[in-house]
Amino acid sequence: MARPQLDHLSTGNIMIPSNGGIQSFLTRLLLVGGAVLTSALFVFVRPPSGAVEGRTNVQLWRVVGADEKEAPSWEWFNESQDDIHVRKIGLPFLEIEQKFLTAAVGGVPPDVFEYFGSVAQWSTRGALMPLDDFMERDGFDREGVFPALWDEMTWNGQTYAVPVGTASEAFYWNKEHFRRAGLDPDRPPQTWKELREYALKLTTRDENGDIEQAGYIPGYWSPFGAPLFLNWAIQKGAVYLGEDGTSVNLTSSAAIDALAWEAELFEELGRDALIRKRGSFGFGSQHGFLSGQLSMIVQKSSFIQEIEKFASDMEYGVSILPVPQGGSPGVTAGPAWIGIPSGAAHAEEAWEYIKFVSSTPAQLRVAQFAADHNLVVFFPANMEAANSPQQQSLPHMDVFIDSMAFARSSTVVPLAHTVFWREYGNAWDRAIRGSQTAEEALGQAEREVQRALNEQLEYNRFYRDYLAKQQHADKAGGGQ
Amino acid sequence: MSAASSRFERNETRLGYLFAAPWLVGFFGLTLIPVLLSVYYSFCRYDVLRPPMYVGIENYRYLLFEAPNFWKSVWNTSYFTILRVPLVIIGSLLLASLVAKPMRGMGIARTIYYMPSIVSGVALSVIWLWMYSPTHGLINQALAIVGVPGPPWLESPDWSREAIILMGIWSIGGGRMIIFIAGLNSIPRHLYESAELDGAGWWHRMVHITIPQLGGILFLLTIVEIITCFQIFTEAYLMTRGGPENSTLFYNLELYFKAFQDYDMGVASAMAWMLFVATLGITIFLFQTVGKRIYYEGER
Repeated sequence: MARPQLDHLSTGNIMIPSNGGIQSFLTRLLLVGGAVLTSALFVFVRPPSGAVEGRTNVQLWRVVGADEKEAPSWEWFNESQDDIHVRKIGLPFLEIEQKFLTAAVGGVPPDVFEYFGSVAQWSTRGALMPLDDFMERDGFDREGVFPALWDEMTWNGQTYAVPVGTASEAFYWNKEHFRRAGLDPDRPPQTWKELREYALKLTTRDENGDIEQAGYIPGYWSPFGAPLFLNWAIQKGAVYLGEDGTSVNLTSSAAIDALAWEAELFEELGRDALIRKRGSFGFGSQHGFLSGQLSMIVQKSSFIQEIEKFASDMEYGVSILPVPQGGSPGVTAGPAWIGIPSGAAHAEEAWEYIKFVSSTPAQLRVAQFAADHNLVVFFPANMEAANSPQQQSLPHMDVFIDSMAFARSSTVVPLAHTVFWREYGNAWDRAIRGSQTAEEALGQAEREVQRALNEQLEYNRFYRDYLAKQQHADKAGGGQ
Repeated sequence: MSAASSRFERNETRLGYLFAAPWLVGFFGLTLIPVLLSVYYSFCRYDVLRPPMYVGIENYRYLLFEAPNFWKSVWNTSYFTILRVPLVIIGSLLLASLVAKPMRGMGIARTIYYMPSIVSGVALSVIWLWMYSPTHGLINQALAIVGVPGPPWLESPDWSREAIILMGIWSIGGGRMIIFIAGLNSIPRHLYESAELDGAGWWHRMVHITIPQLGGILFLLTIVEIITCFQIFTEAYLMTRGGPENSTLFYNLELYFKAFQDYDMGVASAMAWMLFVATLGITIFLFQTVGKRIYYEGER
């Protein structure tokens, strides 16, 4: 059916005549040419990449800090030699994992990845390259780094990342509160028993029974922060994963005792009042400890920085955590690590950079930088740098560095890391609120974590077979 | 059909596709294919980094018969929907009938009521987080003035869901109110006039004239609201992370945890498809039952 009247209308201002001829050809040429040109613009014209000519350009992805200064190790590296240029790309903490995942799946990962989340998330899924061959070839010295940090770097007998920094935990207390309660402000509680006594003494209530000042709130860290309940169980000697990595044990008497103790303390201090108090705390200056409404807390080394920022005139002390009777000191420490993604374009050059940043001179320079700028977010993973006078000049640094002697990784079940933390967190919550006993709560979590672990082990076997098959096919293909 | 015009039509068709090409590429490459692939992934174990491993109906079986959080999240979401839909629909209708009358300054009143809905979900959640603070929050301080001890809201497994439902009040002045105003103003005046002559009060006019006349709009908004409620995510993600004791673990939040925390895309895909089927089923059911009894003007 012909639509003569509509012809000119429907083509609008392009005005393509309904008969063919040279004009129509030209119009088409223009249109197609325009489309090709536009696509070409997208494909070939790129914003300046920051690449340096005459050098191998290596891309480094790391988390960009909100307002903290950071030691520019990549700049030091670029100055130190003429062959490689490392370009740092800072990504926000909330985006970096998904961006890295997308890039890895898309086959265009960065050359170097520096991060402080779980290594296992990536190493167990084949997203990171094993570094053992590089290490062996170049005689990489593992001994310089805190031994506690290597656990998390390795999986299935191979090393996937190198620790460059770490942060451990300690016990903070408000000296002014201690003084007011008639306690010695320079003597923190040494045992669980003392922690309980101090907490009861330091807790004050108003006439309605609401807590005005909380002595201690088990598990309180910051709003939404994961409770640090692992410390207490570690001190009791809890081991969550069997030697062969296939069985989860959350219900050892050590784990149950530790959680039961926390739940009991929570109840004794006044469960409902404590929950209300905790719910009124916020971020920054509204944080329980920083606002002076909480006397004792377990926190990371970086908390010192927050005290200086939000409560600079607070008189506080830092020590190792109180220890249970018959137990031994224990904390968790999370490393900042650096690794090479599988399929990185410049693995060799990336390894050069990794060697540089993890070397003692570079780590000492990081310590110097930290001392100059009063930075305590992470401290060097290199023991010599951590124990250097520069690093030790930072307030309370000795406590955190000494704690590394008995620190444990916060990756407990590498193959089911996120499931472990969520289920453990939920179990903790149920026990603290008294809706389940510690044993029931942990039992439920154990079943879920074990299930997730079994699934992952199965997936792992499948993946190993898949890789073997692929390798076999590659070999067969290469032989032809 | 002349040869020239058919060539023209072909030509025009080709150009049409050329212009639509960017969208077509986006739709097929970034929407349709991934959606179809997710059907396959729902029968697999898949973490994006490694190739999918076929496991049959295992993901569905696990969710329906084993997963401790699945039914909890279904219950939470249903509870939320059942309470939130009437709250928001009735609230919007009442607010609309307040500001529908053509009076001096009504434009300003409508604007003021509309304004809260402009606030982004994230900012909104942070504001309500403060309002719900057990000791310093606006709500509990106001309750304290009249001598009522406020609950710990988001800190309590008994109140956290209700707290998030109540946040719906914030949005009653939004797009729904505008649609209701348009609907109210299109109801013929003479119906009200004759009802008034017969001595019908506010309530009778509402039940016998306004609601039947608004039937189509009410039905549409209810369905849209149900679907929106099924997708509740932002508030719970930002304010409670599903806690305390999973009391605000809504369906999409659990789906998100599975997908983007555990990278368990198989289970997450299965959850997404079950939600789709449930949403579709409920919508069809509503159309078959309620939808057939609605009066549309001009309908014979």
